[in-house]
Amino acid sequence: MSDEPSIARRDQNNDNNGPVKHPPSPEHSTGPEHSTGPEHSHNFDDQQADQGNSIGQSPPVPNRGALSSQGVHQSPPSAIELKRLHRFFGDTKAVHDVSFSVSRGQIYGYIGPNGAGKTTSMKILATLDLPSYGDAFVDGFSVVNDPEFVRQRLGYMPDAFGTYRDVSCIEYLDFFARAHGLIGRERERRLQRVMDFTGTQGMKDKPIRGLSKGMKQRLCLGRSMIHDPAVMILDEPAAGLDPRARIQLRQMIRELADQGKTILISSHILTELAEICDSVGIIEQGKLLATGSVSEIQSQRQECRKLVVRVLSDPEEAANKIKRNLEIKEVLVDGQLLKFEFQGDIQQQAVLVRSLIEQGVELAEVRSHQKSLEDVFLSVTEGLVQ
Amino acid sequence: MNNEVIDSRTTQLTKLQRLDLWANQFSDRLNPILIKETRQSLKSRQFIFTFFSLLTAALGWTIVGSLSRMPQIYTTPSAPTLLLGYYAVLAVPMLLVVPLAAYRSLEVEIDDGTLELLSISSLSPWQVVLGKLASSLLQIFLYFIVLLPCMAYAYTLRGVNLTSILLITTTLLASGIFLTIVSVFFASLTHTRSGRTLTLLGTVIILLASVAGISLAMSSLILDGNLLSPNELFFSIASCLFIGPCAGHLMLTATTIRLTPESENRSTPLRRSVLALSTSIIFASALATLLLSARVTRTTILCQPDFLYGLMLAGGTLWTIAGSMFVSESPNLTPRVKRDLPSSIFHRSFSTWLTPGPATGFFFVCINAFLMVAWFGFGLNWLAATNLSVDEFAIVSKRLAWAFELSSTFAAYLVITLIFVGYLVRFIRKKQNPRIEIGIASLIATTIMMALIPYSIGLHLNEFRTYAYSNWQMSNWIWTLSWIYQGNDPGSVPFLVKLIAILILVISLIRNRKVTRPTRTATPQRVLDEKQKNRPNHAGELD
Repeated sequence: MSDEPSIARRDQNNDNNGPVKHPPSPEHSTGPEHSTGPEHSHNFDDQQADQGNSIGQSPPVPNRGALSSQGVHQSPPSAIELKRLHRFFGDTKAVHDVSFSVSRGQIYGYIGPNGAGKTTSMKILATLDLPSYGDAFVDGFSVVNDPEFVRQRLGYMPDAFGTYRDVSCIEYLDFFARAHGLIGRERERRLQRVMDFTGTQGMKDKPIRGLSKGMKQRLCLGRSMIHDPAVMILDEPAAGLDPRARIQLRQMIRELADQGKTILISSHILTELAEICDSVGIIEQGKLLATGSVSEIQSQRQECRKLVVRVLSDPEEAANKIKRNLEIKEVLVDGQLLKFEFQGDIQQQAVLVRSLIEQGVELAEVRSHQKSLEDVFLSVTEGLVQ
Repeated sequence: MNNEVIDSRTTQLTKLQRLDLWANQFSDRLNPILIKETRQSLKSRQFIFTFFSLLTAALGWTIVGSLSRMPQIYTTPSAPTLLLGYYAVLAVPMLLVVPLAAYRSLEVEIDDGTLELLSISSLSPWQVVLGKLASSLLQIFLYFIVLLPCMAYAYTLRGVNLTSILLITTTLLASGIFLTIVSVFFASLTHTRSGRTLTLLGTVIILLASVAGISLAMSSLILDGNLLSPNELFFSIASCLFIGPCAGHLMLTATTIRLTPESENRSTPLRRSVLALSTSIIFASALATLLLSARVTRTTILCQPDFLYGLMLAGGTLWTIAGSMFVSESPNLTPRVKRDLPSSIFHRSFSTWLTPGPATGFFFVCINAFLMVAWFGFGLNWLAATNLSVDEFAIVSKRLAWAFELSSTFAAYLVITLIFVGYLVRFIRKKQNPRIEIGIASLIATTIMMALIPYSIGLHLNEFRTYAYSNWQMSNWIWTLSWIYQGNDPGSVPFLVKLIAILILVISLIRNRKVTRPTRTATPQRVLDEKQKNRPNHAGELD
């Protein structure tokens, strides 16, 4: 029995964890003379020795300069950052090498089928679970090493309500305000602001058990923002809500982002996410398949654009001109409508239209069909469940 | 906001509003869990039902009990009868309802996911647990206050002295608090449905057994009066005052550890708590030696040998269970834990054994087992020699020599077993990353194998007939210890076992000398800055 050189990893109370390899770690222990000394960075070679084995120490990534020895950003560039995040439950890889970052004030949509690993990643970010390997940062603070600082900056709304019996709405919010250390007038101000924002002022004395699902969601949103966090994690906030409640919730989220809050949101309602998110990440079977802004992903996944052209002149002649110009093999003629697939961006589409007009084709209408987020989601994912 | 502004505002308020304002400001200093739990529990059906049942039962018993004693109630002492009824009325809510409500409260937090929400708030696990405990305490006091006039009435009926009533109420209050701690501890043990069924069953069994035991003692106290001598009474109270809080603290620590994130140092608080309980056992053994009679006479209820054996057994059990978990800890420390490791030579000299890790855990257990054996062997002997009469010392020293032999052999077996447990858990850790409770399972497996294998071989060699104890049963700790306990001579087995244990200890110390090396890592400046920023500074915030 011995105390081996230390490498951070999941510790004693770790249900259903798979085997975790832990090769020797680099010596970054310091003597008393170094105990309060300045931070010192891992060098990259040492990190490679650590590859994929630890919590609290980010796996090797080329750009390590921004991280200190303890996995704390010296100058946080992003509000949320996941670095090669892994979470295993036995043989199941719930989260497998997920990395992305969210800039301040952005709304990031986290999309994936059931069991894709969205909630697991979000729980790790909310410091409710620990990664098997890799690390996650909120405002530059590691969820593993400095969870208390992460919690100060984070508001988490889980997919379950998490409400108490025998308490009214105001008592519920008041309790969480106290739990976040708010006292005196500051607490009263925050309570007032949150109830105004979520529209729960009118039901403040009502018992929670009598509330509708939509109102409970509002209350839970209020609870998660009671301490005015800079980052909010919303796990399926719109699940089970009627269309009106969904629209109201969407407006509230947009408003929060306008206030400068960074929001990570997961939802199954992709059209809604496409409308409010600045960027999205698509996850399946624990792996991040695509990430970026909605338009970026759409264009990445758009192998060819479907164009529909309505001509007033002879359609056959126009079809031949299109074929000649663009070496398009097949143009479907449907009355005055010409339908074909065009490989090119929006600029090239403009060039095509101009060239057709110059060749004497009388164009009445040009329609291009771009893939929606739902189409992209369906093309990226395979519907696999772990 | 300065005082003048407060004054000008408060002067315009009515008395009731001012009281409300003051209460609101006062509540800022209270544990939020206590406020929430109190709001919840005072509105709950369970509390309302229990409270009114208690009132009705107390009133009913006052009338029925008094009428049943008529007309002798004016001439003969009738307090015991009435007090017995009041005790029964009070014991049910205090010893059963409140602990079970506390269990259920934590269970519901786990079920509804609110414990997760609390764990990401600013509340520490200690605040969560103490808040629940304080709320239970409040309920206990409410129930107690209801019964207080009835007890005063019973006292006026003569037959029970004030000391007995005080003893009964104190025991009820202390037992209620302790059983609540036990219930909360059990509620935190598991988060799975099947696990919770088992813990609930365990809690109910413990509560019922405790109620039965306490009720037996209390009814004897009510009906027969205090049968303890002043020394025995002092010993009972002092021992309970030391062991009870330490045991409660250990269970509260264990509960908070269940609610603490894995990246935190969860081992050191537990080790400190085990150490405190062990010290309280040593204190009680010293008291037993000094205060309790060495002979069992007709007038002696508590006797020194019985208590010493009981305390030895408690100490042995404590270190065996705690040791099996300490040696099962992960050898890998999180960076967060490494930031707080002892750094100076002085700090390392005294605190290394409290830092997490299986090797430090092993030595921590060994050192304490050694100290405990030394205390039972030499410390108590010295105490007896300097404080008891010659006759009493002659009896006590014989028993202490025997106790030393038993405890030292047990400690040697513990050292050897823990080495096996440590290796077994290390092997398991290659494939899995289990919880430290795996240590208890490994301990059970190891001790059974150590006893069963030599016994089975002996049975086989003797054609399944009974056979006498021999040196071949050296690893059979059950037979060896029971052999010593019965006063038989186990030959050279104890000596050999102790020799092996010392050898193992020395080899382990040499092999693990690197555990004393400094491994502390620097805390990033940004974290230090943030900590500085978060230092409590509430001045002027309560405006």
